[in-house]
Amino acid sequence: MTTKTKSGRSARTNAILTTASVLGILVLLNVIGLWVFGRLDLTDNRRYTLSEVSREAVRALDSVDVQVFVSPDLPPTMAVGYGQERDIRGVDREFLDKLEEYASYSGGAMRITRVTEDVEEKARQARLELFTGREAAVEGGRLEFRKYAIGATFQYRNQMEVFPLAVEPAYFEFEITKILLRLKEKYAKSLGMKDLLDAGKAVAEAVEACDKKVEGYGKPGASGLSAIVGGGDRAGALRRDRAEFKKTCDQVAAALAKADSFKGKNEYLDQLISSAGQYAGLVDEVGRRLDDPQSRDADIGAVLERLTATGDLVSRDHDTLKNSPGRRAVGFLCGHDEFCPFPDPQPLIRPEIAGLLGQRNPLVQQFVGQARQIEDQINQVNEQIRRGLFVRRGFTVKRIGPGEDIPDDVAVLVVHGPQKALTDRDLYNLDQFLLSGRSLIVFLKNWDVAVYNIRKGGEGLDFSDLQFDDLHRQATAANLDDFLAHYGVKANRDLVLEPRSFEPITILQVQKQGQFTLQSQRDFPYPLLPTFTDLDTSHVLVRRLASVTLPYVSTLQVTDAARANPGIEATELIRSSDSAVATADTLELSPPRLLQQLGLMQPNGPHPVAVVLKGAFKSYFEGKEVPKRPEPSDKDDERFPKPKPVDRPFRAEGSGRILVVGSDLGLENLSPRRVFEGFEMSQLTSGTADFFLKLKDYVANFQNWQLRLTQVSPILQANLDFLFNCLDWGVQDEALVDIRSKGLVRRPLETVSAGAQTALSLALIVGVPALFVLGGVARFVSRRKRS
Amino acid sequence: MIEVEKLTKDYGPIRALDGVSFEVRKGEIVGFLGPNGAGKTTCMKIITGFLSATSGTARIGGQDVVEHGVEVRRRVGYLPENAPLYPDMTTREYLSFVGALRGIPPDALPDRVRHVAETVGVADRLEQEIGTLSKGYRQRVGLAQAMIHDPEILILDEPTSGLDPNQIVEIRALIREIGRDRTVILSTHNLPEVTATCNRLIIIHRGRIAADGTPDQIQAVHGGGNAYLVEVLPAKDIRPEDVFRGLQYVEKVAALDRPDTDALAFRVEARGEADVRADLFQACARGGLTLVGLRRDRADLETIFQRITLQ
Amino acid sequence: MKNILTIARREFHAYFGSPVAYIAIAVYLVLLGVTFFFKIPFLLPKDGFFEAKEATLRPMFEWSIFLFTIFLPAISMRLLAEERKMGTLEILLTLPVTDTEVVLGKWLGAVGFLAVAVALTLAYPILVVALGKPDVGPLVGGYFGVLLVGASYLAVGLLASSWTNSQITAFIAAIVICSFFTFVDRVPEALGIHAVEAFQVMSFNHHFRSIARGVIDTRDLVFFASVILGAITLAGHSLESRKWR
Repeated sequence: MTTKTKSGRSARTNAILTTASVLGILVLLNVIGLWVFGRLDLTDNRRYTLSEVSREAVRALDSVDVQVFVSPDLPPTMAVGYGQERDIRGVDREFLDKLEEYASYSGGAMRITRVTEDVEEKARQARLELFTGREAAVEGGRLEFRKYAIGATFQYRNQMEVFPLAVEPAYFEFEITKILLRLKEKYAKSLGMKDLLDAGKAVAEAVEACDKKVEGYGKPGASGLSAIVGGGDRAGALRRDRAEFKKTCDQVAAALAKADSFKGKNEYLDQLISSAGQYAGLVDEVGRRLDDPQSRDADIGAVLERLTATGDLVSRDHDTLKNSPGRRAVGFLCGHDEFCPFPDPQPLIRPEIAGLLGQRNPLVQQFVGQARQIEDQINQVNEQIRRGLFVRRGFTVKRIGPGEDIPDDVAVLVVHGPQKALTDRDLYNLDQFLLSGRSLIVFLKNWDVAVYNIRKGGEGLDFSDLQFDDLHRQATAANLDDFLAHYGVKANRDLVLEPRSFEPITILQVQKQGQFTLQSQRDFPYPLLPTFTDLDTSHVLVRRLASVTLPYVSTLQVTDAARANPGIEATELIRSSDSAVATADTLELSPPRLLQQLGLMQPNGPHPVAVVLKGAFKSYFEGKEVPKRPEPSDKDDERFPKPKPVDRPFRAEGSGRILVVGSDLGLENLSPRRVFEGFEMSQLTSGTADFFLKLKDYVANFQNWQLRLTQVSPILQANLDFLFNCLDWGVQDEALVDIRSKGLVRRPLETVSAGAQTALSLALIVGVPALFVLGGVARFVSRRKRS
Repeated sequence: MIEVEKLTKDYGPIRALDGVSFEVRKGEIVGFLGPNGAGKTTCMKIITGFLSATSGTARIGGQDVVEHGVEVRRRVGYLPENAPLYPDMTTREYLSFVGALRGIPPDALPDRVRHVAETVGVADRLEQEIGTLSKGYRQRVGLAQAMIHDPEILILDEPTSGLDPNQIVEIRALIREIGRDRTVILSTHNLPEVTATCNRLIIIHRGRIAADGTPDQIQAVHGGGNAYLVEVLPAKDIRPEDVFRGLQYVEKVAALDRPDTDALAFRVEARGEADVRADLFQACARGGLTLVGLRRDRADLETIFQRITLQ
Repeated sequence: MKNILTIARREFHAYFGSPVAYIAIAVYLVLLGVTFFFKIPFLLPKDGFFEAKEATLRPMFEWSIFLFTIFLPAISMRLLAEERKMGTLEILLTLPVTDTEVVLGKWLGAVGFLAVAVALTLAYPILVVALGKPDVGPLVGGYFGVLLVGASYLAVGLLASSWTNSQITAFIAAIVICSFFTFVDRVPEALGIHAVEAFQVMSFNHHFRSIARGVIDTRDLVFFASVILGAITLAGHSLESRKWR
């Protein structure tokens, strides 16, 4: 054979080689793709792309060191609440990706290092929030659940911020950018108060050194008994090393003496000085006991434990101080039955009086005990709200009691659905606050609506007393109308119903069947929870939102005076649709009847339901007498010593911002005073037992609060986010509003009647396929005819 | 046109083709003859590039069918056994589909389809779905698809199998017609088909070529040599055997027993290839024998085929 | 390229030449509608479209993927297996086209069929846009993702179809492979997060979710492109291997 022969076998080898190399290249491409990739974000808000604000935030810092703490063996889920689990698979990857994305915009200024050894222990020291897994191991005779870390610390110059627990990818950008902005600001502000911060730092360091010394004498035991035993050892060691102890720990007093010159200049430093003072006192006590040959080892051990505990306190106070520069607080006006997420500082029944009364009357004693329990619960809930909702999201919140002056570091004041009238002094404070260039946010609650309540005065106290017939609608005693109208927002006493887009109300139904009580939740369409989609997207507050649902909302109007005033910029933030109905008539509140009634009403929309005014205002109190500060009640003085307030000069005009929303967002006030409605101390001494019967009403009040929250639960989360947006806007962190809103746009559907639902679903399920098949049949027939 | 060299194909342990070599010149109509499983189809599949040979080469117009698969296939039209066509397409759709893949430009395609349909006689069935056509028509459509691009070479695997006698006659005529200006290879196990349509015959048996040539050549080679049947009337004193034996070109003479006639019959084998009938006639006349019958004695193709394939 | 399109066009018409295609698409649409609108205890525990009141098509996309694991193998099973069985493959492969062109064309034709099925769901986005303000990104991403996953299933189905001349065998093989690569991200947690993540990276579902968020990421594109090209290459190889058997 002279010609080149291509045998089958070699062709076969060739083919196999080709196929194998194609597959190899494909695998290689995928691997390369893990490092080299790009992406196109198609979402409306560019949710998955760093926004300009974030890029600028990272560019503004010339050097950031990020330490990432991610447990190497993260579990796929983490427990959240009772028996519920959140899928966290891939969260670590997303977190790192997000950080890398920032780093890529930082021009090399942001350095990311991953902690690889002892991650959890180091994370704990860096004040990350560890979470508990399901895996447990026996350690030191106890069953210990494994803890995991996923978070990071950010260091910029001498400032440090922590991202304690990074498990919600939707908020990664918000949190990281917030940290970056905060680092910059904190650093800038801390320059001006360097001496003060240094003094605080010196104190904290002295305490830490002393703590270390004490720790060197041995660890305190966990339980009481071992504390005594262990205390003996520690005391022994301490006695031997007495001179060294004194030398080290006396530095605390020295540092305190130096810091004393800054006293009264900064509340956080004052707090630190106070706890460090306590620490110094305990150091002295240890010294005295050591000097006293009669003192027992156990006693010394006990003091040492207190010393360590106080040391922790000092270190926490120092953290607060370090974090304080440039921090802007959010004030909540309290004391008028408004939403006020703080434990009530004044107990309903003062313990000493309760003790006295209880001695005389066992019924009173019982009442006081139960009332205290309810009160504690309420305070706990409020504390949870404060921490869980506000502190966790990085807001510093302050309670502004009735008549109290508003501190300077409050950048935004929230008046959230007061149901009682504000005093003139309150209004005066709000007025002056606004005119000082800060932001006032008012959520109105013109109506107290209860759709489905536990009936009061019933015999039992279980949920079987839930009744539709207890629904009521009551005008609240709020008196903000005149005040707001003065600046340019007229609030109407009506309710808005949207016939086409609204949310359902969740009603808890209880049925008794023999011995069993069955609870079930059912949703009813409810036009009093209208969803608004006409948003002024030129405004940052709603720019990224698709809709807002406001329960029991009243209409607002920008007054003609404000419109005519060129100095005031008025924005109708949220408006109802044209087909909305605003009415002050009596409404049938039960869902089916309300729908019927709505069908008969004439639409009169659109109505604004949220308005922003910005510009130069004149004082509401111009030409009026300045209301007097209320006399401090003696109770206040006793328990909460406060510095004497300073009168400030009256501002007749100034510029500021007001946001008015015609609804309380479904966030209702929960305060002991509201739950114990109508309770007077005198009832306890009146000699009758009426007060005791009232107890059931009080419990019902508390439970009704929970019920009402449940009723609007589908919209609550979104509304909370809207509230946070308002707060960010208020503290002038408008950039953050944009980022936060990215991830949480609710996109509700228009409400469709049951008939239309059936028609639409049938059209899609049966109609489209049927049409398609018919088309096919037609095609077959025509083909057959042709041939 | 087609050169096949030492083609071998193994299906696992079974050797389907074993060193087959042949050449087909332009304009030949070659019939592959052989029993089922002889390797005819395998050989065709290799030539058309559907299969690869285990060793050996096949070239069409000088191009290797493996290396230049696409170019080679462009010049070939192929109709596999049983004419497997898409039953859900109409004749026109199918022919257009194949035509398009054959590289016929879209604007020339409709004319081409009509022309080829007329050639094979399915013009009246263009809009009918192939699944509903009779076997004969399907075979014609199969032929049409093989020649839609006017190929130089047509390879037809059992083009008449499963047809009724009338259809067979029609298709044979068609192939003869087509084969006038093309090179055609067709396979069959039906002998009359070959003699009716082909001018060359390749008998394949057990993967090898057992015979190759025109029917005459094959008969000459395999049909028992240069022998003649001679019948003469009996004559006194003359032994016809001696007359024949005396001729120098005669190799062997054998008397045949013919009870049905008065004449004496002999089988005379001659040396060489030359036709000696004229000489025999004259020899009889010279020898005084009355010649009443003279013809060449040859095995017919059927016998030869059986002889080869039953070995 | 021209040959690929010619083959694709024939394949596409072949689907609509038989009632099976119409029935398959109708069944797909009906099932999709039922899963989209209805809540059935145990079977479909999630809220239906009108109950959830969310302007999103996410559930529809996820159900599509799920239905595709059965629906598309039924579509792809005939691609090569049937031709093999009927012998038409012999004519096709002896035309002047390469094996690669044949598999690509077949796959493309099936993708065309898929596109028709998916296009018939366009009533859903119309419904959502009429009743709410959906985010366009996830809508576009969702459709893109569904098409990519569907095209991958078809490539895998084509590969399965190239192995055998029995359509049922091809069908079952394709279902098994598609389901495996789709739901492999649900491996037990006990394997540890690294194993879980490794499986995730090769899971169709994982990459689909990433795109359905509304983000077109090159990593996901490369993944799907690799699956499709890989399966088609292997199918081409298995087609070519007929020559040596």
